[in-house]
Amino acid sequence: MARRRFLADLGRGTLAAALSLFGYRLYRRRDNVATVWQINPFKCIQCGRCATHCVLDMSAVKCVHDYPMCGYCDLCTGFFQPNPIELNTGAENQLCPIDAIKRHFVEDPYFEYDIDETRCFGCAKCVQGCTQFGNGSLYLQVKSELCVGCNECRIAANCPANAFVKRPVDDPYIVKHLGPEAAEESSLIA
Amino acid sequence: MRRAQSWFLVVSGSALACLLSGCGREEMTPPEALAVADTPSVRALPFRLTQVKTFGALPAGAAGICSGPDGGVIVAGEAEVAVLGRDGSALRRWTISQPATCVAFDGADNVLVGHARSVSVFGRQGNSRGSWGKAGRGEGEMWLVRGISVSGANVYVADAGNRCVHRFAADGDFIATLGRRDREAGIPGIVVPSGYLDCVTIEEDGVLVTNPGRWLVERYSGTGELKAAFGKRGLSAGQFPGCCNPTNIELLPGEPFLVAAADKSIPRVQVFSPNGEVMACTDADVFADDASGIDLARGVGLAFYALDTSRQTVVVLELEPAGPVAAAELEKSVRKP
Repeated sequence: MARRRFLADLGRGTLAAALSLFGYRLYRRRDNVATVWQINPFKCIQCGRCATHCVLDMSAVKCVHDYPMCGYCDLCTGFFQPNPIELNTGAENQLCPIDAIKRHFVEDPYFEYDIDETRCFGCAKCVQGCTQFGNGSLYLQVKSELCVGCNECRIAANCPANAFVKRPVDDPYIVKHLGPEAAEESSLIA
Repeated sequence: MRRAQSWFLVVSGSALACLLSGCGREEMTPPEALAVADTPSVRALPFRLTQVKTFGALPAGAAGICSGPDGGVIVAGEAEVAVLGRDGSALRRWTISQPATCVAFDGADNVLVGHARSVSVFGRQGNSRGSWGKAGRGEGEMWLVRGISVSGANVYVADAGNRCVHRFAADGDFIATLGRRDREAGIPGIVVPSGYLDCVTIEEDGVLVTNPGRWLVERYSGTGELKAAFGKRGLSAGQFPGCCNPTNIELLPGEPFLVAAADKSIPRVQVFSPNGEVMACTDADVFADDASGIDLARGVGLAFYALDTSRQTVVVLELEPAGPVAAAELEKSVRKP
């Protein structure tokens, strides 16, 4: 009889402990906001690791275009090699290795440049050219609909510039033309 | 049991230490900068630009400079204008109500400070003489003033927002617009992809204007006729790099004149003859890598000032011959002050 009572008490105690722990965990998570990985474009140095270190076959990092910052230049330094043979869409003139940037004539001498995200794999060659010689309107962002949300993002772990941050899931992207202060404001240190 | 426990502690402690120290992370090496064409031709140019001195202590957010009284320089910033001597010493300062984008001195008693959509006029002592200019996209209206130049009774205002140069009288009365596209007149139009535009007056009624989106320096008459242009896109000395250069321009004494033009993305200053032949180019390390909108101002003789907007310093550059042939040429062709 004493043993049965002991086992019954042990069972109740274990159940109580488990329920308490569960309640405590729920209490701790009450203020947590779901977050996603993102790249701070003001820290990114276009090293190319976004293309090679993502766990996905095709990186979840894509180039995006901040059109208000763009000069719509004939010689777009994010589209063309530094000294292009000719200003046309020939592969030998382009920086992008996979023809993911589409060049559309607007009016003399302005052209619009659009990113084909189905082709872009985040190598940052265009971002480097645009940042170094242009207005910096092309930059890399993690696409939250593609990213699988690794607890330890392999790209973030290997980013030489510590450019990866966490953003609220309902505000996942950084809009570059709003400036670096706005980028820092709602981003959490990764 | 105790031995197993101690082994467990040793192994887990080692694993934790390894994790914290970053074992398994790859070595971080910064990437190479985007390859830029080598410019050995800078060394082969007949003249060189020597960095004589640099001075700081400028008004915060310095954005524009111009020749000042007695060979000095006037610097305009976000909230202040400073008149500096040739050695960089502050002679006079006064506050302004709006951030300045450019500044000009008429050589007599008027300092014109350009703001985004207006021009303020001050006396040499900083006493305000009012302001003029109307914001807008229409004829004679200003949207983003980035350069200003005064010659006699004419004030030329480079408006990057409206992609043109306005000509005003000294009191602000609008006279003409220069640089708008006109196919019949053979004017291709000024293209401004990055918000930089500058102009400088030429004594015999005319103005030189940068056309950064077309990689040109253009010369217009006071009535808007396009007289001449030079320039070519490219990375080498004598060419204008990237998507949109040159950004700033100044005249140097020469026969008839020399043109100093500043570039961004490869921050440098180049000096050209009036027909576009490159004569000198600064070395790679004169300006900060991210300097842009390097404003220029004439100094004394062949020395001139360049504003490093990133480091917030004024660099004094001097044009010197690189060899005896160039020295003789300089003696013959460059007008001494």
